[in-house]
Amino acid sequence: MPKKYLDKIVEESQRVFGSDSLEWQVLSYFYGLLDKLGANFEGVTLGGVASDLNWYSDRPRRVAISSALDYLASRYPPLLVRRYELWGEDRQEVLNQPICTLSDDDIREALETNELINPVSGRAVPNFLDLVSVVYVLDEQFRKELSSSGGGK
Amino acid sequence: MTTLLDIGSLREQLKFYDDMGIPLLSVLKHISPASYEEFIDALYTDLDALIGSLEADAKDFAEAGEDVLNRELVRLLNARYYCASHDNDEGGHVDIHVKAPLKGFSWLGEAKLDNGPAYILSGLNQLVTRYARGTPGNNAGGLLVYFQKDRCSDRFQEWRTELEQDHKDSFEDLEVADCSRRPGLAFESKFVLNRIGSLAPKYQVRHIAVSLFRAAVDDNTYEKQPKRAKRSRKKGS
Repeated sequence: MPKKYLDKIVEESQRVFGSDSLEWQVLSYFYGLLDKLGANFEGVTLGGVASDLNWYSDRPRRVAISSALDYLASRYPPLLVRRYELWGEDRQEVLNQPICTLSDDDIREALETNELINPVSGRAVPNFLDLVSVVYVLDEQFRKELSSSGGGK
Repeated sequence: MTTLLDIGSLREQLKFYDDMGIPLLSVLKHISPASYEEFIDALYTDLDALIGSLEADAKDFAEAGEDVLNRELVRLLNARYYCASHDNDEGGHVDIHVKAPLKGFSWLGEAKLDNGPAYILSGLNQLVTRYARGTPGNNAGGLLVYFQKDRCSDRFQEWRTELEQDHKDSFEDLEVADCSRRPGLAFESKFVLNRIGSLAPKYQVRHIAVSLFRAAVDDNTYEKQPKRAKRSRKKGS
């Protein structure tokens, strides 16, 4: 089931961006990663992909990375989900666990008001742009199916 | 010590979107619109821009069929973070279906080549009788008309006039208004959807003209004309 579903997404994304596009190069890299790690795939960040592909200093390539990953996150059902996590200020000591996860709506409100309230303490978070991480993780339903079908090498 | 935040922070995410010229906030409005009105507003802004892309490449679409054009628009919408599909099973086969699945919002588009007002009317009828739900969050749609002949706005005006004058009885309590986003090339209509009745808000349809005319001009024509004019002035002087 996931293989068939993934094949459909691969085909569809190739059609959307074209096989000679930068976006397709990003997606090929991502599908390769997924094929290798299967259900063990933890997640990627835009900057992480840019570093892996050595594209960090090239603007059109950075743009292609956001377009490609957001495409996978905005289709339905999604393959990737954006996960926002709020980390403590002294992040070097508390890296093992984020304080909480945040939703698209939380982030939207924070960007509109330029203020993020820590849902746990009820206090405004200074420098929230640096303390919120954005990771693209596998959609949970897809991960379960991938797991049950023994995906990953 | 791991420093995942240095590379995956929200600040970094914002920089990536700044590179694209699309602020993250605007992307979040697509993904997680605060209201149906906001979803429709963002969709129309993007749809107009994407239609502009099609029109800029009119030479590639001057003879294309409805299906090719619809697929191209859906492809462009998908590349702009919309969850869009073509020929979705929505009580039949609607041409373009855009949704914000997390919020349960949807917009349906029916598209027709300009084969005259009667043919365009069949598209509007299809949209409102077969596909449109008219329930909250699903209360707006679009009728796209692809013009592959010249004088697009004049032809489009014929459709508007016919709708307003000859089909008032077919669309209960019909209201038609200009669309300031695309003057002469779009207009808005609202009417009671029979399926829902008159106590709910009227169903809204945005009618959009897409100009795909490519003039069959001999490239040399324009170069030759001024030369001829110059010569004739010389003779006359």
